[in-house]
Amino acid sequence: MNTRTLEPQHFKSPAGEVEKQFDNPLQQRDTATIGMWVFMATEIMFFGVLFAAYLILRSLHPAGFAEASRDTDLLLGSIETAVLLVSSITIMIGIRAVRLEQRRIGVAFLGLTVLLGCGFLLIHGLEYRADYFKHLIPGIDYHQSGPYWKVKELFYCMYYFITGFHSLHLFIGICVNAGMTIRVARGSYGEHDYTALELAGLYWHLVDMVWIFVFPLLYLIGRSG
Amino acid sequence: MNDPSRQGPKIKPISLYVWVLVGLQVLLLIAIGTSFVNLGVFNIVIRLAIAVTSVMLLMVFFMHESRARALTIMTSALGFIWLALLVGLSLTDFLVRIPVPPPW
Amino acid sequence: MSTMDTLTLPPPAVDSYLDHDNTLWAWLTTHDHKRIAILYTIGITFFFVLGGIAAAMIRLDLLEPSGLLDPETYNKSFTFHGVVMVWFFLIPSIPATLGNFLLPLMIGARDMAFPRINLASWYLYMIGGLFTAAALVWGGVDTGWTFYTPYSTMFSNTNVYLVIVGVFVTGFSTIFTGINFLVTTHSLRTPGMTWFRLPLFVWAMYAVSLVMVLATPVLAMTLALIGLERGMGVGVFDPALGGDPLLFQHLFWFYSHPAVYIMILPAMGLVSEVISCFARRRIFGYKFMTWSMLAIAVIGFMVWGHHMFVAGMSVYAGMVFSLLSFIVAVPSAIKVFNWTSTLHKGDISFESPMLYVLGFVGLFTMGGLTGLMLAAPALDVPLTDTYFVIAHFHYVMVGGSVMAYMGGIHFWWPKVTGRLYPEGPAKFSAILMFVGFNLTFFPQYILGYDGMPRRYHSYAPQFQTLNVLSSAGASILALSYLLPLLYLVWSLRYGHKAGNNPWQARGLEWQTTSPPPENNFRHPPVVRNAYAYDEPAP
Repeated sequence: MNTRTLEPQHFKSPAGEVEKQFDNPLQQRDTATIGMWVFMATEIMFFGVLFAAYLILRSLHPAGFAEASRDTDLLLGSIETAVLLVSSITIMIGIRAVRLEQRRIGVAFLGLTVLLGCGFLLIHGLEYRADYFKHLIPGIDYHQSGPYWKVKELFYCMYYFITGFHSLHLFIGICVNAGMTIRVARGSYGEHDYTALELAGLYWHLVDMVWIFVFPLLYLIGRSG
Repeated sequence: MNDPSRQGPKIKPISLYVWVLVGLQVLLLIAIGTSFVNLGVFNIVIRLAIAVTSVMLLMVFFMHESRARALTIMTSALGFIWLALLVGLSLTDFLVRIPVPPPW
Repeated sequence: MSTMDTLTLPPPAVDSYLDHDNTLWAWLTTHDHKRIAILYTIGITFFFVLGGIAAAMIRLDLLEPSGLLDPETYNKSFTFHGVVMVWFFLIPSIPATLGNFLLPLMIGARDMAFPRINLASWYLYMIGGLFTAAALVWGGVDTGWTFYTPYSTMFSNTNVYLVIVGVFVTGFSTIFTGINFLVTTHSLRTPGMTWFRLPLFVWAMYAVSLVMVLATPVLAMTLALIGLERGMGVGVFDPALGGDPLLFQHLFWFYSHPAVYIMILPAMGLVSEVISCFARRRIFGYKFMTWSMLAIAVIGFMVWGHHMFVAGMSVYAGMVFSLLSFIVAVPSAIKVFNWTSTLHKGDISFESPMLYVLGFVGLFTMGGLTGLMLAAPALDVPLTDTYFVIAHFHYVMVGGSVMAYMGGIHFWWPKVTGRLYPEGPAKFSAILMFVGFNLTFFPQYILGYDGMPRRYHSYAPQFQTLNVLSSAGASILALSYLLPLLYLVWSLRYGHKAGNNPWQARGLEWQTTSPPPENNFRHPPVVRNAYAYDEPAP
């Protein structure tokens, strides 16, 4: 005899309310996680279009792209990468602290993650600003000379599409995490209720992972040519 | 609430986080350092190898904490495989096309 | 508690999902997958009518060799027809309506995994539709549904932005539906519902969701690139910079060919359910059916280049894509063979859903076989952009998907509404649809083979007879779409009560009441088998 009740269970558990379509909190948690992973696969395809276009165009114009990528700012790019990598760790430490009910440490590290994300955007803004003064922004202000000036414009189109789209995602991640930080500070989430935090963490890692590919592809390849 | 099946993944020691961070930063330094050495074709190979290693570090240690491990690993691989399809099959065109000189 | 126990209980007096909260606000904020499916049905029917009107304009223009409409209007008509029918009717048609309604019922779940995202997907669909309709009101768009560059980025002076935004937004609704279906199938199956007991319709939804989730982002991003290029005046598809318009075609067809499978895979699953029910037989080669659907979903991603044989792609790539296109025909053929084998020695009854579905099998086979002709570059070169191509994909899309969709609507109508539609008119309109469809599109095979190109508002005089035949067929087809609208709406009020299982079908969805209660089942069902038509009716 199946002991499951006839009507859907609306029960409160320490892990928050279980929606009617789920049998227990664990199923709900796993389902949310799988959903997030599928969503991230779509995100990979979103960025994938840009990467594919970049790689294909690069294969058509290797010399011009190499020269253009030498004009990117290696120092700022490296700092940005380092900042993002650190933020990926701080968010994990923050979530870990929340799970251990060390609420103040959690708020501190989640807040630090948000600050690091903002720092990334700020440094990237500086890069864009420098580009503007070097007349490197296609469609707005682009004046270059040299044999590859046309192909370089193509490179900078890709550069702005990819980094712009990445910054947009990072901005969304910052908003989500800022909200999470506030909620943790107000006493939400804890030992058994941290699925939302974990999903936000996954998203943050995804944005980080994208940058891990952006940095070498845009800044590093062609540096030595 | 001590039933293990109701709990999430194990909480990991903080030292693990620090070591992964160190690993990621070292990989970054290697990437920047080697970018000044001209390795020809291997430029892109080594670049991508380092990037993939970094991503694997993140994925292995931090992202697969769900109980549904096999499924999430499959799902996370899916995006990358499909991206490879897109790039790979497109390149069957672009790599063997008769080059058309640019109009300038 | 076993299913047998459930079914020996007296007919339960449970309130159905339609019985309470029937204010407009309650419907617009519902999280119930069944109600969302009905919202989707209303939206889709609306856009089907819009797209149908555009099609009527096309057929009207082509009555005369010189064209009855002016060229701009004609261009805008076929563009609007394509955009609306592809993104606002065919792609969401079966998954978002029948799929949304049936998937949780078929796996014994109480709802989708993410009900709020499900509702959000409907809103995104409607917002996207609003943008597209706005483009029409503003004067239309003339790029063709494919938005080929550089025309769409540099030259067209029409409302490309509005349509691109509309399709972009709708893309997210497709992605949300896909995520929901995948996760629901993984997480919410009732006890005993193992992977190889899933109804083939659920497998079809699973396969199609894979395609939706992995292909749609590519379309969205590619359209975003078009928008940026139009806005900034520079971009990656611009040959003046060394960019490549063919890159657009690669990216576009990487989505749009799998999109064809988004349209046909659900139909394949649906047809398997109906055939099995009305042949009173277990579906033949169940595992082959599941694997072939997954194979179609995966291989469908590797064949997009066959749209570009004459576009300037390398010949080597043409050979690769041609070979892969032939390979994808294999799983499709497996499905046709298995349907016919299911019919073999079956106890067949020709109810109206069965008529629609049998029409599907024949028309899909014709569409598929002519597809093989087009997959061969040698034959494709002269046939590209002729009416042969039009006829080919309408046989698959309209003769295939729409016929199946209509069959599915009839098959599950008693479950959705609790009422039976009148069988006579239904049979009549099923036959009318088959006749009208063939009269519309078979002449186009001949026209195309004789060399009439697509997308022109005028044509050579020798093509007139066949064009008039085709237009005449289109009016019959239109009538056959109107008829069901009338008698189905009529049956909502005057139809006979359906009972829980009017077809004596074996799927889980037939074991609950018609219409189902809000939480789908009074008792969580337990499943012991699938397609048990060789066992006595439960």
